[in-house]
Amino acid sequence: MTTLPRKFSRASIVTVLAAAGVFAFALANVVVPSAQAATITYANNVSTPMGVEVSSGLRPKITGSDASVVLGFGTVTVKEYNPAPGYKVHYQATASAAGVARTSHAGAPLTNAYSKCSWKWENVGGNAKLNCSVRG
Amino acid sequence: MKNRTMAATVGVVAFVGLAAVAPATAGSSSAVSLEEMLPILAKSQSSSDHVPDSIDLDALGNISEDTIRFLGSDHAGSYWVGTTASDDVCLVMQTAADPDMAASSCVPIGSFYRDGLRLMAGQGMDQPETNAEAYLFPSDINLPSSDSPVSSARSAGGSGESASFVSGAAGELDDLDAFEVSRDDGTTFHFAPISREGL
Repeated sequence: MTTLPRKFSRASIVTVLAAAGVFAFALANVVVPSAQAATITYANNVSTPMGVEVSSGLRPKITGSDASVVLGFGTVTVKEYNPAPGYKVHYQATASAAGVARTSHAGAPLTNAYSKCSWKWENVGGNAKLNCSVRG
Repeated sequence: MKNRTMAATVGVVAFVGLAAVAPATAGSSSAVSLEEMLPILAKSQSSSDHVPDSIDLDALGNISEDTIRFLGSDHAGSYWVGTTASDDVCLVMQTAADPDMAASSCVPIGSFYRDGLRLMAGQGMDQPETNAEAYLFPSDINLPSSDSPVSSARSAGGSGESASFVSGAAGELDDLDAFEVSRDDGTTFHFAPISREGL
């Protein structure tokens, strides 16, 4: 068993290790967000009525969007658009609600635009939980 | 000591609980392999299977590039199938109206076995001519006597190299109707076309 030199008490080592841990945690939280800053989640399990669109709000740059819904059947839709006046949908994808609908257009990013998502299951009402994100 | 006993008991209960749930979960998906559902994935990848450089497979769901297979193309778009590291099945589309745009629909294998894959993408319903629409089915779904809704759609304008795939411009596949197919394993395949109403 290794013994520690007297001048380094167990308490001081624990303190140093704890400080190192805090530093590493802080560093990770600085570095990781900057690497992932491009993706913004704007709906996180948001209970939403069928057909109601949840919007990301104004985004300076959009290169794609994702949308999924906690639902067994039906469809989920994600749209990227400029609002009124001159409302225009630039990119839209509608896919099986059992999975994820994604758009991607890194070569033609939108600027100052919005993303929004919704779900639909015909003849079935109620609410379902939406998960939607936008990439910048 | 009491705490350890408690922790061990909780662990055993959790394990037994998981063991009891796992077969039910597995049973609710499919015993059919992915290659059986999608024989195109069992074929060697060729240069014609690759997506254009403009398509970002990571952004479209971390789709593994070496699993990508070309399904076909038509005047509305080009279409591929691929899988992710977590074995989701993905339908990938590049629209002809805007080749900068790609879209994907990814579902777990079990969902693909039950419902297939559906995807419509473009520049919204205000510009219907920009939208492409595609459906991919497991290979055991026999599309095809000449009067089936899917084969009608194929002959009406859809295209694709796979017998279990149909595609076209949105509006060309309006003849598609919902249908169900009962399988020998007791499961039922459900199909419903994407309704453009309200999109």
